[in-house]
Amino acid sequence: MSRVETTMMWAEKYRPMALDELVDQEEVRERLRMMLEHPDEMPHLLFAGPPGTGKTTVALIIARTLLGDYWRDYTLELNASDERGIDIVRERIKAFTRYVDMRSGIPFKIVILDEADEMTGDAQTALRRIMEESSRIARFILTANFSSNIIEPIQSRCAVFRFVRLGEKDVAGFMKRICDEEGCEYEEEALYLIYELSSGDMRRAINQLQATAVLGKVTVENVRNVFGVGKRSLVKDMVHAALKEEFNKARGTLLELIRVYGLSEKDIMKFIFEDVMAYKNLDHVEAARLLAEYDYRLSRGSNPEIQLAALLAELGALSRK
Amino acid sequence: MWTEKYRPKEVGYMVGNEDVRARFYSWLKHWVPGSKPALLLGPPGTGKTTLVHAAAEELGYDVMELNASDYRTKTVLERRLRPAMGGLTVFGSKILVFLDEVDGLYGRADYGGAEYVLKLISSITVPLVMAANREDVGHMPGMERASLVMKFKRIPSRLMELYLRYILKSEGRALDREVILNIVKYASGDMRAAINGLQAIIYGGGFEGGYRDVRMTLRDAVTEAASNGLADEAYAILRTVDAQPQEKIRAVYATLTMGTQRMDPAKFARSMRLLSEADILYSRIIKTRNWKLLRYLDRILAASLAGTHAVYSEYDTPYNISSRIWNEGKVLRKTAKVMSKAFHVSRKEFMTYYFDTFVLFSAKNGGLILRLGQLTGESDKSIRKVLNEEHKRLLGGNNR
Repeated sequence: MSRVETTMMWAEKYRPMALDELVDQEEVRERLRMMLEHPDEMPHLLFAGPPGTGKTTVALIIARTLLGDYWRDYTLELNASDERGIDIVRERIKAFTRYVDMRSGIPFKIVILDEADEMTGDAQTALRRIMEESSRIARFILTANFSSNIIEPIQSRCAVFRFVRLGEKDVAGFMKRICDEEGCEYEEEALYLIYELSSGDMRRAINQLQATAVLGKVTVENVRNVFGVGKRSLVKDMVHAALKEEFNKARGTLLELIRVYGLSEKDIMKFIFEDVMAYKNLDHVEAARLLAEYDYRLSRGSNPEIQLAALLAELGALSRK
Repeated sequence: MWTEKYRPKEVGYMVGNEDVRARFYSWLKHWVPGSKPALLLGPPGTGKTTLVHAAAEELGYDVMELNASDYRTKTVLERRLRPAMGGLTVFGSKILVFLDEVDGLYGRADYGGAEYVLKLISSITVPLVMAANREDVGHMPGMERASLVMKFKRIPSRLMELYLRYILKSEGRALDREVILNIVKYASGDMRAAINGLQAIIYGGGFEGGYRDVRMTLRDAVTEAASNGLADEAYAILRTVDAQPQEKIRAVYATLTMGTQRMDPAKFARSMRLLSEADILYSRIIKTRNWKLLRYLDRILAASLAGTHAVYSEYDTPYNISSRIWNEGKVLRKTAKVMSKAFHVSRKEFMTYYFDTFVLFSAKNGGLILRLGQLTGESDKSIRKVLNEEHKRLLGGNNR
């Protein structure tokens, strides 16, 4: 995809290109600014924080700042949730960090490893060695939602930066700027509603803003409509069916979500929680216990689809009580 | 134990680490008093111990081995090694001293052991080989400096697969390639783990011994177990089936979800909960490579099926959804692969948080569709069709 094509998505078009453009994250910005003045001294970095707070954005800014026009040639960007296993570490990362084949002026190569907390333990252990061995050639920037899922030895080899959840004023302010640039009308209240519905995740908020804008003016009503369609609403349908003891229908939707659309099972779990808790006539304590159990099982099991299908069956039994 | 039965007796029959094997063999062959000792470093199951024994055998050495299971304080080491200092055993053959797991040689239990080994290195008059399960012996740098360090790498998957096939052939057994590859994958270059895994799979579920001469097909066993109200009897049926654990889990999943009608919700939920637990157990077995845990799997699966009166189903997906998975799913997966890179997110995240918005304006964008066609290798006709349908679904408010 060329730049022109990717900028059709506002989340990409308005992705900050410099530290100054970054929303909030004062502390991170200050520390990084100092660090970037002495690139040779830069250690490996670990960015931890909730989704949509700017971790990947900052990683890309660093790559651009330090590697200049050729940053794409010397940056390896991998998403660990796509390729979680040890093979990716052994093959791609090792190959990329093996040779010093850089033009002058390039201090080192950069490996951006997004969602590193999704990596298996084995893969992290393998990564740890590579980080040491290749420190002359490459710097690693890892991003993670929870730094606690990163093994201790890797954490200790990184400078850790904590990204904080963005406040509603910041996110709404950024959305206003986008609306002004794009010339689309908005109700202020609608922007706050988007913030709320996207749980403070800037990326999610901007995508919702754009979807709403495609349909017309950004009003509270339109925002609600947009959130009421699409994959998110499929989850809602699924939860309804499950609670009405229509297991087959519910599982049919689950299969669509996972196998046709390839949604993240963890996010499906999150959405199920939101929808179940919004459901009246249900013992919410029992429901929460059940969801907590299956959320845990989801992270332990080998087949997420089986886990979620079992949850749907249990929701059916729960609504009966 | 297959790991012992199939431990190569000759250096030439080993797999992987060719260069290290050659170096070690040559070191031992040309060893003279005063030669440096050899220090073998590398992950478990890569052939360190095997190499020492095989090379010693070929070159006429007796191995005097001390590993972490022995106490290795200074006093013990001295006493055990004293006879070796003469250089010959009572039978007149040559001696090689092998200190395995030297990385475990520190702390209180082996008091003075590490220092003694360092002294030994400079004074020993027979070949000395040390081995450690790590990539360096950081806590005793003196040992690395004083030795000839040989680093072992993990065994490449391809070689491992060949070796497992050789074992299967020798045993007159066969396994699906997929299963073999799975074992290889989870062994992560550790040959010992792979062979143990292979043996456990071959005898999987059969840990309780005995012959399994009553063979039922998975289909018959699952249906019969489901029609039997007693979990014990369902278990007796299920355990006779010769199938891989994943196959069994998959079959129970398909059968419960596709082959039941109007079951009591509480009862059905219980069955699904047990299936979920079977899946977790299997995941734990794979992660920890603790194949012994397989003995519980059939019990749990049997309890999940018992009394459900479900009819065996080979497929776990209704036809209408299968066809969507094949047709649209393929286009969507490829689109996600391409677009997620462009937006710096994972494929799943693209589908979860970007896709709906993406559809809203890409469905009508001819240029973008053409470009997507080039990047995904799908025809732009099929891409347009899929995006249009999605577009309709979104604007139609999802009322299907």
